[in-house]
Amino acid sequence: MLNFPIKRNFSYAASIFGLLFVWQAASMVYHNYELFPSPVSVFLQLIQLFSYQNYITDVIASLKRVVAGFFLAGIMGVSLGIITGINRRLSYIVKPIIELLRPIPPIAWIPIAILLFGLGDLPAIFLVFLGAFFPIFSNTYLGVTHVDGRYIKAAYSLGATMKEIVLHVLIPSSLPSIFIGLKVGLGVGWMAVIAAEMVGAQSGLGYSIQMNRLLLDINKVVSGMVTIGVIGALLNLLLDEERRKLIPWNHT
Amino acid sequence: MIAFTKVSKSFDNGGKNFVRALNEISFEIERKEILCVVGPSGCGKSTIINLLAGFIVPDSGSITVSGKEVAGPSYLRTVVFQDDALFPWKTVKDNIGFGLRCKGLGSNEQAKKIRDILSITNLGEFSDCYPAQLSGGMKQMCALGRALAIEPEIILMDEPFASLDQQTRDLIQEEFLKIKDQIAQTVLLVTHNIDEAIFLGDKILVLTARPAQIKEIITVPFEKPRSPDIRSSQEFIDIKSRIWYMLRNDISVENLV
Ligand SMILES: Nc1ncnc2c1ncn2[C@@H]1O[C@H](COP(=O)(O)OP(=O)(O)OP(=O)(O)O)[C@@H](O)[C@H]1O
Ligand SMILES: [Mg+2]
Repeated sequence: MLNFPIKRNFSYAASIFGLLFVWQAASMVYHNYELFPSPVSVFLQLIQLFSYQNYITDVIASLKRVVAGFFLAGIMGVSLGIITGINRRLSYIVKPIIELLRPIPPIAWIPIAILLFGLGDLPAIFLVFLGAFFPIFSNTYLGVTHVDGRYIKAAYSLGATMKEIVLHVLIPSSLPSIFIGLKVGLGVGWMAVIAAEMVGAQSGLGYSIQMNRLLLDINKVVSGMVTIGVIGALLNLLLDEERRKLIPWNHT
Repeated sequence: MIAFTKVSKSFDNGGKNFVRALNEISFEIERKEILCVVGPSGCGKSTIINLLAGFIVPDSGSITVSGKEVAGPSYLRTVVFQDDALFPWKTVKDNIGFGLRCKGLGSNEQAKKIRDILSITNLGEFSDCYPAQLSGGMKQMCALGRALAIEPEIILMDEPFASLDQQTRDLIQEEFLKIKDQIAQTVLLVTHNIDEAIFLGDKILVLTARPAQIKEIITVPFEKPRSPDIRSSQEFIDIKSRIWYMLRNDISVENLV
């Protein structure tokens, strides 16, 4: 699926290996494996964790929430971004609301999310949605409003109607910007789901980290963090791959 | 036939620097003719194109095509821009097909027309390439093909070859004349290159500095089809120095800024 050039693959591997090396060295210097576990012990812990059904259920629970919230945010953020980008009068109404809500971090919504939706999937999905929506909306809006005017002129003088301009000019030319929004949105959404689960859920990676913190099992806490990091990076790669397929003109 | 009658246009720029671009310009373009427009930089050449394309409206005067007043952009008056303005997200063949799709042609008719255009522009091999994969000359050919495909009444070209190097430019001018022989379109071509205007034009409209007025309309005496050899003929050089002399009187440092 991911066909990177060999050279880049190699330097990626070297950089990750370097990070692990520094971590290992630091944990050996600190020399308190209860508080500062080494990568080796975390690796062994991870193998053990992934053999438990519970842990896999937690990972899947988090992924489900992030995917649900991200899809909602993607659909709404992209469509609202396009509509607001095209319609200036609508943008005068929508933009101030967005600009006021955007600075509120998803975590600040947790109390309200729990009051509204109780515990479980819904508050987490809601938080993911909030975290992902704003970057997706803003980048889509930016893309649509910054289309090179020559393309619009050219399209009009080739006989295009408004509908054709939207479908064949505004949307494709905004795709690179939309993808930046999706990438940032997915990253924020992934962070939001963990935060939501630490407080408002009884499953998921965030919940698992919180439990292990209370049990003072730092090795498991760090294992959870590593899982979050790796999955986040994989999700990002997945989007890059989609981008390559959807925007072929940008890399050739 | 296209007619500009006493067309004036100024730009307000929010009241700060009021610019009068065109001052009561009148001229006509005959069917199938290539009219080249030359004039000092900033005199209002692109403004003429934008007016005829329907992107902007004149302050006074009238612009008619076949007797009908220009109202807004239309595929009947399509524009080829200096830096091609091909859609980067569409392949060569989809760029050429875009106007056909807008016209509502069926997919078979579209495919046939695209094949014809690819063949006259020599872009057959590149039909599935994106514009970023083409050379400057090929991009301009593709932009021209995209305009020809929809069979407009007139093609408006704003310094279409200006970003090409001299050799490519000469070649593409020759290619353009060959294509022009096969098509029925009228062409309005703005250029700051006097050679290009003489080589391509049936007539040349020489404009004064801003606010642009018509200095002279020169009828180019060379028969078509034209051979590249005319570029070095005495007659060519004479016309060139005549136009250069007219323009030089108008070019001064104040007019450039
Ligand atoms: N949209 C606009 N808003 C304000 N001023 C404009 C606009 N379009 C053109 N002008 C002004 O009108 C004058 C003529 O512009 P125009 O682009 O037609 O010149 P031009 O002959 O094409 O110049 P060049 O040879 O540099 O392309 C210029 O002084 C320009 O600043
Ligand atoms: Mg110009």
